[in-house]
Amino acid sequence: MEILSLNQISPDQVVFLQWGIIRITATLLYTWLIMAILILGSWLVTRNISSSLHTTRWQNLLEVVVSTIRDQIKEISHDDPGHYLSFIGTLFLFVGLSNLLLIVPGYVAPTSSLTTTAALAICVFFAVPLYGITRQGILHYVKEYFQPTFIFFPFHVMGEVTRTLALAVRLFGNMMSHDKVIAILLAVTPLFFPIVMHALGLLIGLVQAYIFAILAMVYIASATQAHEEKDGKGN
Amino acid sequence: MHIDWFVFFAQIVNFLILVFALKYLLYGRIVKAMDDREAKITSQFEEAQRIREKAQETADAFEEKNRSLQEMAQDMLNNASQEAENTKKELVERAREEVDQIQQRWYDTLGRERKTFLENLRKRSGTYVFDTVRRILFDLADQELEQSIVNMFVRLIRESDEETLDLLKQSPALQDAGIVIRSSFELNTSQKSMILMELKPYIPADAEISYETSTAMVAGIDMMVSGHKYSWSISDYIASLEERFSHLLKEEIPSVKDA
Repeated sequence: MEILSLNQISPDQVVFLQWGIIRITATLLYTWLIMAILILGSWLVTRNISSSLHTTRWQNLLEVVVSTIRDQIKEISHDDPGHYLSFIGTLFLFVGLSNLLLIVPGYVAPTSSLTTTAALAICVFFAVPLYGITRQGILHYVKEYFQPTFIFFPFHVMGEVTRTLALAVRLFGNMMSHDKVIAILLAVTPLFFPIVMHALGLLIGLVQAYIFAILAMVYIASATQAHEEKDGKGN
Repeated sequence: MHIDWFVFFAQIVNFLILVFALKYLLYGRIVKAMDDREAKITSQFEEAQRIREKAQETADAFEEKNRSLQEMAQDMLNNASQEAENTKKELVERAREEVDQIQQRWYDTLGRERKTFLENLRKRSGTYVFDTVRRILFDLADQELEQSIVNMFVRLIRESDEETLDLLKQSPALQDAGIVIRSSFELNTSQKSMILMELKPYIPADAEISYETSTAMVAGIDMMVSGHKYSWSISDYIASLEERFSHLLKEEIPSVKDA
């Protein structure tokens, strides 16, 4: 049973409950499902976590995932990945799992909703100055917007806004279009071909999650490292 | 395509909740476990390295001790070989000395036996010759051997140098003890008279002449005055016989040295 008809472009349009402005949409429901899977899964695996050489397979899997994320963060930031792991890691896991679950029939990815991708992009939008100010101090961070001259301030702001918008729309566009392509293909060629497209969809989903997380890390790293490089030269 | 603002904020909140939940439940625990494991592996590796170094030190010490033991064993072996060689030489030397001593004793015994034999030979042959000659003289010339000996002795004095004989008078020994004439047989009165008569011109009138019979002499008579000896004995002939026997013995037993 498809809960999202072809003419409905976003899961936000599927509303299960509504009290005033409070609307429980498919987006929220599937988001909670993903959250539940991630939180419960983490709790189940890490409640009996072991630091010995013999670990469970699930712990092993999570260690591989976490250490891969840490390596990627370190590669980009050239910094201790511990500062960014929670934010970037959660972005990747949430978007990744949200996209991978597409293989389950009846599931609609929350990332195919512009509301979700916009919310995530806004999080990144605020996280960038937050990390920058935390690392460098507010004066140093704000001064960067007026480099090389104050004329560049509006361009810097515009750059921040547009890249956030691009971040949101890129993920939304990819996931939504994939959803629609699959639905159309099912109508045209109901056998075999949709399976290949699903497999491709899983790859695209993971690549999009990777791109989203990596871009977020690049933005944060650029905010924290621009000043550091300048300070390094000054020294 | 529109944004549901309630869902928008709800998603922000959801995401932040998820960040903090995963930070506590996932990243914190997993990273801590990995760090702990890394520290544990590092400490185990260091421990293994320490144990390996200790084992290497022990192995080196053992090797050193083994080498010193081998050297000591080699030294002991060399010393033992040297001592054995010395002992062997000593034993061989001692055995050789013992053999030499036994040989020397044997030579001595042999020499003594030969001497005794020759002594006995001389005595027996003297006696035998004496008896034989006496019998021959008696049978052929109707003369006694003893008389012949006395005659020979008297003739010896008679043919002596007169100056020498004159010295008898001044001889202090003659003054003290007189003249001693020894013979292997008992001289009878006529024989004593013959001798006395011959000596009378050369000795004082009161000179005392004593006569002794010596069993050591073999058929002979002698007189010793002032360092001069007047004597005749068949011992000389027997000595010649003894010499021939001795020579014969040496030819028969060449290894026997003249003891």
